[in-house]
Amino acid sequence: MEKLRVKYNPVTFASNLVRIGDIVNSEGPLLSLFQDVSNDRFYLFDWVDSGANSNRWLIFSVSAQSIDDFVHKKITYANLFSQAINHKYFYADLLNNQTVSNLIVNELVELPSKYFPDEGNFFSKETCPNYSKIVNAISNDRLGVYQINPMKYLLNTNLRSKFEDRNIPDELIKTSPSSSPYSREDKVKWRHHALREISKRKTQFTLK
Amino acid sequence: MWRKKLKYEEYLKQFPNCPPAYYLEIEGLFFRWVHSSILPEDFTPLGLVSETPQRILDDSDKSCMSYGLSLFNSPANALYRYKKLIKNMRGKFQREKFKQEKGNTIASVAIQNDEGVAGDMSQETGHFTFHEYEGTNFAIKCQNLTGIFTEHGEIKSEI
Repeated sequence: MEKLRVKYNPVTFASNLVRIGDIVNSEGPLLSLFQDVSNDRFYLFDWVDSGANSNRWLIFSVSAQSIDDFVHKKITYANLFSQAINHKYFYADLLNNQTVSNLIVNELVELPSKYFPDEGNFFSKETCPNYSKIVNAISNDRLGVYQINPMKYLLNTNLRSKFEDRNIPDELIKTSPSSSPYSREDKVKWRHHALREISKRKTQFTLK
Repeated sequence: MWRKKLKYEEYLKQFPNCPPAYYLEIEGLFFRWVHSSILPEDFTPLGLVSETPQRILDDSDKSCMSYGLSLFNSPANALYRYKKLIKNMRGKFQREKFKQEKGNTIASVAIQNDEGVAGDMSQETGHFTFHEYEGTNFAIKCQNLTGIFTEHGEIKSEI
């Protein structure tokens, strides 16, 4: 694999990532879209390289508008790639069988030229198995609503880690809004409520 | 239930309903991407190719299908899909990796109905997944290798 120049500030950022779907898939993901439910940012995982035991993914954040432009063929993949927010590119080498859960990534100082995409490459629905999910996620983001229940993801990720046995008490689950679509306000309100409940009930729940 | 024991059963049993019960024994001439000199991994399911780590982002990528073989109903469909995927690779580097992994040739395999079970064939692409029975070895019986690329290194327009 290519040698990389990285910034020595590893970031654990994947604890809140929800996989929306694959933009390109052939016998496995090649370009996959994630959303961080804690800040609503979209991230692309772009497969760029592989070695004997690992696959290398470039990870960067893009706006919903950029993804929308790409899937509607207004811009090429090279355009989308160049629209990475703050021009920050991270990478992760995922070992065989390792997943993105609690992934530690490093920011690149510079991108190897081999990892730049070609010009002239447009989106194709034929290799996109999750087209509807992707389009929905983008349009929901614009409207500020979610079809997926972000509370459930919060429970499954960063809130779950607050419990010793990693089980969320039923009483807390019951308080999360259950009807779809969910608004961004719902999410923020409920997260505050959940954190308040957690701190109030330290004696009831086994906390770390 | 199928007549014979499936190959790689120890891996298949980690997934529920794998392969699905509707998979059927088939017979006929089918096509697969291979290297011009057949390599052991040409007929090894993706989930078991040790030279190429599987691209997995979460557990949903670990699928029953990754322990089956991809086949096509015609050389033209095999060529079309190859071309389509190469075209959608986002850089030269990825295209080269793809060629290294998948090969540059299309081979035909005459499948007998006691060699395994097949899933639904896509009407659009002619692609389907095939799970071999124990004892099946396509590597020794594939034939009619046809190159995918022209002498100028371009993908052929037809085959």
